Amino acid sequence: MDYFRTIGLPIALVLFGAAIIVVTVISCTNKKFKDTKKGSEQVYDERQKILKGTAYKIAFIVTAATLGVCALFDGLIGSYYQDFPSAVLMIFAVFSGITAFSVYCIFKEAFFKLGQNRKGYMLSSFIIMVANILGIISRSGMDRTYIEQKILFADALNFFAALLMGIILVSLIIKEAMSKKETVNEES
Amino acid sequence: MKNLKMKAARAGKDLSQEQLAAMCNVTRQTISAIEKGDYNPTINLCIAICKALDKTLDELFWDPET
Repeated sequence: MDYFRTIGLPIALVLFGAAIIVVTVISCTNKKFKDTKKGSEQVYDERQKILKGTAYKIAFIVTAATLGVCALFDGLIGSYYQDFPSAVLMIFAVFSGITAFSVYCIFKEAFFKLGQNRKGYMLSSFIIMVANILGIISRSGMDRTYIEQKILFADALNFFAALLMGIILVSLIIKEAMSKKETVNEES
Repeated sequence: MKNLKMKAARAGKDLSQEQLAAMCNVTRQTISAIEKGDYNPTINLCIAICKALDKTLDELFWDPET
């Protein structure tokens, strides 16, 4: 454990950082990742791009509002819940923003690119949700809560990830049903 | 304001929203939004729609009353 903390963890963090930089550079330079190809099947159309801009703004507002409410909650009654760590508030705020962005884009039909495989995305969302639920279940017998001594255990991350994927999945299913109904109505 | 001219032109060519959307490289919802008057397309998309429907910009998008 000490070996991991002193040597393994810094190395892992450096590798993780390097991986992020490499992926970012590749995605910025490689044409395959760009949306500017004319006649390409997988692009966002102009209406979707405008809506995504609005979605970013909504996500920012939701994140800021969540942080504000959490800070108020922490300030007003935080003294009664000393073990409530700010890490939970931060994660909750970030996940709220991501959820707001995703749900807005899904219902405004700006989530998927043209020709993108929706069922594959729904299946992968379902698999990620199930994997996170399994993670929670596998540790449920350890007799501990998500937060102990101001430490946020992985269970909480699993819970937030499962919740996010669940909300996205339900939104996708509802939107899919709405789109089918809409298509029938508008074409008739 | 609804774009009934575009809807009529599409119906005249026996195209569904999905088919017109595929021809213009946009989503079906974008075509639907234009026909409903919920979205004002850019000139590039207007031209693409006109080419797909064999119409001019005036025929589809010009409204003398506005």
